[in-house]
Parts: sequence; C-alpha cells; structure tokens
Amino acid sequence: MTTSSISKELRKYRALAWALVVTLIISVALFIQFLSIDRTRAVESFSSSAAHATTTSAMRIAQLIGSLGTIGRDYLVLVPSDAQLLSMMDALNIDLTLSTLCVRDGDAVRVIRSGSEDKKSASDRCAADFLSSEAVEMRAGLDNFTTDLRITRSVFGDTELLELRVRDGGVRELRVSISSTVLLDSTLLNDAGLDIDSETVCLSLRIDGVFHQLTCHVGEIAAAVPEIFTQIESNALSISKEIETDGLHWRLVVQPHLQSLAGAITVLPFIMFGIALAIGIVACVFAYQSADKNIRLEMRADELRTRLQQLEQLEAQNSLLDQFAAMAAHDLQAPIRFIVSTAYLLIDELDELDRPELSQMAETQVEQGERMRALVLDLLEFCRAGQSNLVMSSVDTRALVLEEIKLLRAHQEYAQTHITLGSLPESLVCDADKFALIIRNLLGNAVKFSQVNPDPAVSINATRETFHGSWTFRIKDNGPGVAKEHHERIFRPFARLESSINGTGMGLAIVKIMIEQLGGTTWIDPDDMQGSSFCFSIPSAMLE
Amino acid sequence: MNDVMQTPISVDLGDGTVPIVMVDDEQLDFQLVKLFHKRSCLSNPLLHFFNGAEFLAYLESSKEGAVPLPAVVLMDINMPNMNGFEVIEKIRCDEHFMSTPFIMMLTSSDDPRDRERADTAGANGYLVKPFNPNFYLDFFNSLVNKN
Repeated sequence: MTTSSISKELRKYRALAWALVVTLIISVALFIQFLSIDRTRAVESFSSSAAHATTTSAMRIAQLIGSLGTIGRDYLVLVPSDAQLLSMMDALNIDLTLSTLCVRDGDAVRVIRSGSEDKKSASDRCAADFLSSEAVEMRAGLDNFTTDLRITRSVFGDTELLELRVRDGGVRELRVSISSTVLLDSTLLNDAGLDIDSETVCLSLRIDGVFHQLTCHVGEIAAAVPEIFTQIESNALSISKEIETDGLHWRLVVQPHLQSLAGAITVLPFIMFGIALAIGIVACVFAYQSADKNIRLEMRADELRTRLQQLEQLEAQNSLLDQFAAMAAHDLQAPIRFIVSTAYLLIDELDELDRPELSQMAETQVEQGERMRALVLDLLEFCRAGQSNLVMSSVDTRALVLEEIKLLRAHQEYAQTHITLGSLPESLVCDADKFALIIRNLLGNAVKFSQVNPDPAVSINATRETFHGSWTFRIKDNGPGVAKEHHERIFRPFARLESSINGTGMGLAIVKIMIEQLGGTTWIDPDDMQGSSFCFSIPSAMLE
Repeated sequence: MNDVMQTPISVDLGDGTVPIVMVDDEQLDFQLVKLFHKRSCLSNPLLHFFNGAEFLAYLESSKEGAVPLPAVVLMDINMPNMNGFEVIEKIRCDEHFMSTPFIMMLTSSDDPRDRERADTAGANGYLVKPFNPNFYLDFFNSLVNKN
C-alpha cells in the first residue's frame, strides 16, 4: 500500500474516534442534565412538602418546646423519680395510656409502666432496646411521624444527655437515659453564668426522616452541630423558621436528608444516557462506513485515473504505430517499384543475351517484388481499415454487389463463373466504401477459390431474423472449403492456408476489421461443408 | 487503373521541338522515364525539374517566348515544399496556362481521393507509376499530335 492509501485508511479510524468522542460527550451531558433535572424535581417536591412539614412541625415543636421550657423550670433535680418522669410525659402531652415506659438509670433498666404487656417481657424488651442502637423507624404517611428527641447539654466540657424517644403508632416507649439529670433550660444556663456563645446547646428533632435541627440560643445564631447530626449539611436547600416559646427564641432549620434526595433520582437519566449512546454508536458505525466508502471511492478514482492515463498513453502510442505503419508502407512502395522496374529492364536485356537462367533470376525478382508490393498495399489497407471514420448512408447493397460483380467479370478467367444473387437489402445504413471493400474481398475470394471446381458457382444473399434485427450476409462458393480447425485462424493477419493460391493473407483480416467497425461479426458457417460459406452480420442502424 | 492505353492522348507536339516535362523529386523515376522516352518514337526532348518552383519559373519565362511551352507535363504528387496539386493549382490560376499545358498526374498513389484532388486541381489525367516500365513506352507512343 502506498503512503497515501495508508493515510486514507487512517482517516477511517480518525472519523470513528471523533464520532465516538462526540457521542460520549453528548451522552454524559444528557446524563448530567437529566440528573440535575431529577435533583431539581426532588428538591422542588421536597420544598413543597417541606414547607408543609415545616409548618406542622413548627407547631408541634413549639408546643414541645413550650412544655420543655416548663419542665426545665420546674424540674431542677437531676435524678427524676418515676413519678416525675410520668408527669413530665403529661406535660409533654404524650399519650401514655397504652405505652410501655422503660427507664435506664446508669446500667439498670427498669420499667415504669408496662402498658399492655406483662412486666417481664416488657422489661426484657426494654433491656434489648437500650442495648441495640437501631435507628428510629420511619413510617409512611403524613399523620404518623416518629419523634426522636434528644437533648444534649454540655457544661464545662461535660456532656449530659437526656434522650427522649417517642415511638408513635400503638406502642409508645419512653426511654430515658440520664447520666446527669439537669434538664435543659436556657434561662437557667444564663443564670449560671454560662456563655451561650461558647457553649453548645442544641435541640434536634428528626421528624419523618427529615432532620430538624433546633439551634437554640438567646439573641444570636450559634453554628455548632452536635456529632450525631453531622449528616446535616448546610446548603441552599434548607428552610429556616423562627419560633418563639416562652421568651425563648428558636430557629428551626429544616434540611433534606441526603438519602431522601437520593431516593428521588429516577431512572430517566440512565435511559437518556443509554439512548444517546445507542444513537451515537449507530452514528459511529455510519461514520466509519461512509468514511470507508469515501476512501474506497477515492482509491478507485485514483486507480481509474492512472488507468486512464495509461490508456491515453497507449492510444497515443497506437496512433503513432498506425501512422508509422502507414508511413512505412507508403515509403516502401518507391524502392519496391524501382527494384521491380529495373528487374523488368534486366529481363529485356538478358533475353537478348540468351541467358535463360539469368532471365529466370530477373523474373523471380519481378515476382517477389510484386509480392512485396501486394503485401505493402495490403498493409496500408489494413492500417487504413483500422481508422474508423465511418461515413454512414443508406446503401443499396444489391446495386453495390452487382457493381463488384461487373468489376470481377472484367477478369477473363472469371467470366464463366456462375454468380447468383439472393435477396439483398436495398437500403442498409452503413459505410458504403467499407461495405464495397468487404464485398469485393469476399466475392473475390469466393470466385477465386471456386475455380478449382469444374463448374464454379458463387451465391450471395442476405437474411434477417426479425424485422429490425441485423442482416446476415452469406457468400457461398463451391470451392475446396475451409477445414474446421482453420475457421478461426483464417481471419487473422498474414494467415494463409495454401501457398498455391495467391494472396497476402491480409484480405480476410481487413474484412474482419471493417465488419467489426460496422458493428457486426464475421464467421464461416460450420454446417456448410460443401465449399465455404462466409457469413457476416451488419446491425440495423438508424440514420441520424 | 491506367486506361490511357485505350485512348490516345492528343496534344500539341508541335514540330517535334516542343519539350515534354517531368516534375519529380525522385531521380530514379526520371531515369526510367528517360530510358523509355529514348526508345519511343517521339522526337520531342524530355526535360526534368526537381520541384514545382523550378518549373513555375520555366513557365514564367515561356510567357515571353524565351522558352517553348511544354507539350505534356508529367507531375508527381509527393514533393517537398510544394506538392503536385499545389503546383497545378498555381499553374491553372495563371490566365496564360488555364487550359495548356496538358498535365498528367504521375504518382505512386492510387488513392481515389488523390484522383479526385488531381481532377479538381486542374490535371488532365492521372497515371499510376507502373512496376513494368515498358508502360512508359506505351505512354509516349500513345501521344498523338493534334496538329
């Protein structure tokens, strides 16, 4: 392969690579686009429901916090008794009729109220629950929500913990773990001289899978986030609400949980990615194939161009050869003529000398000279026949044949030959001169060869299969005929089958060329073995 | 081919001093013609010109009578510079020479197109150079004095 064809092949792969890159870019872009659409939709749906949830939550929280405020003020004792806890629940407005209340005090777990269960199983369950660290169950539906209330207070670096878990829907549990039992009261903290700004005092709620972080302080907004709530990120999606309860200012910040957002992602981005990829791959294949086809066409065009060049060269060479042959044939005639002429002179002189053997030599010169001349003339004829300047006209072939017969009859030896004419077209469109030459040659041959027969006879006729089909001319003689194995060879230049019959061997070659120029074919009828039947076809052409 | 043998050619041979001219660039052809001219019964001299220009010059001087107008001119076709047709055309253009002298084309070509061209140019006949030079003898003997 040439370097240019290699670089052409590479173009294929480049086209493919480009198409692939573009496909991937588009697919990824679509994926990201639809992902962000999904996210936006999730955020919007969150936002709309969050707004609602916030409002309802805010109301409940306001109540809760109001109650806590009361509790905080009323209960300063760190170790609340069971009764205190129960009344705390009352204050919190938590319906405890059916609930089991368990309390963990340090490592001990005791059941305050067993509700509908028996005390033993309630106690076991409490113990197990305290030990496990399961997350609060989330329930579907807007009315049921689970509240997980955790109150942390850090004083002088110590952390005290009050954990309130209220499980909704049937079984209520109150789990209280108190290490130190000081309940939260911001007023209290103030009195204690704590610097609110430097301390972390937080109240967090997780409602319905959504974290509500209550950052409480008096006056300013604190930024610290307790450890358990580090999942909450501050981002533009959070919604905040200011609440006031009993002189305490609260800011309610509601942020969507990552998991809930994650759940909102649909399968659409993936579908779009898949579709784009599929289309892209089809486009890649198409690009590759069309690049391939282009290259193939280009290479073919190159090929054809070189072929054309070669052909033109060949044509130029050929015409040069033709010209050369014609010139040679022409220029040979003069010297041949001189040789023969002087030979004739010699014959005359030698006759007088009475030297027959010398006369014989001179006569041989004349003979051979004549032969050379015939050959050169035939060669010229052959060259001329090769030129295809056809002058088409409507030819009366019957009249033409009769004319040729007349010319032949001028030769004495042919005067006795029977020549019969069959039907011949009287308006055949072809080149008159060439047709005449063809007839002259073939007729001449037929008559010449039929002389072998004591009763020489030649016939010419023409037939055609269909009304507008080609004419088939047949020239038959009752001469010796042509052996089957020579039927092909006989039309080649310089082919001579019998040296006894005069001829240069060019006649039939010239005939064949001219017939082919007229668009026909020539052959010897293989079925006619009595003498020879030379046939040729001329297509029916229309005069333009 | 050459049907001149059948019909005699009548030209003005004058008193036998009017020349017969051959215009041909080939020396050998002239030699052959000269040989048979000698053997013929013609007394008219045979003149040779190698090219058309020389002959045209001769014709010019014949106008003033310095030299005699030829009886017959044998004109070859293939000559360098000016071919036979052109020479004849030039000759026939001149009002002096529109019908005389008698010009025979003598050429190696038997192409019918050349015959036609010769006729159009103004030649009076067309001969193909023979292989048997005895033909020239017959030709010269066929010239009949029309006077």
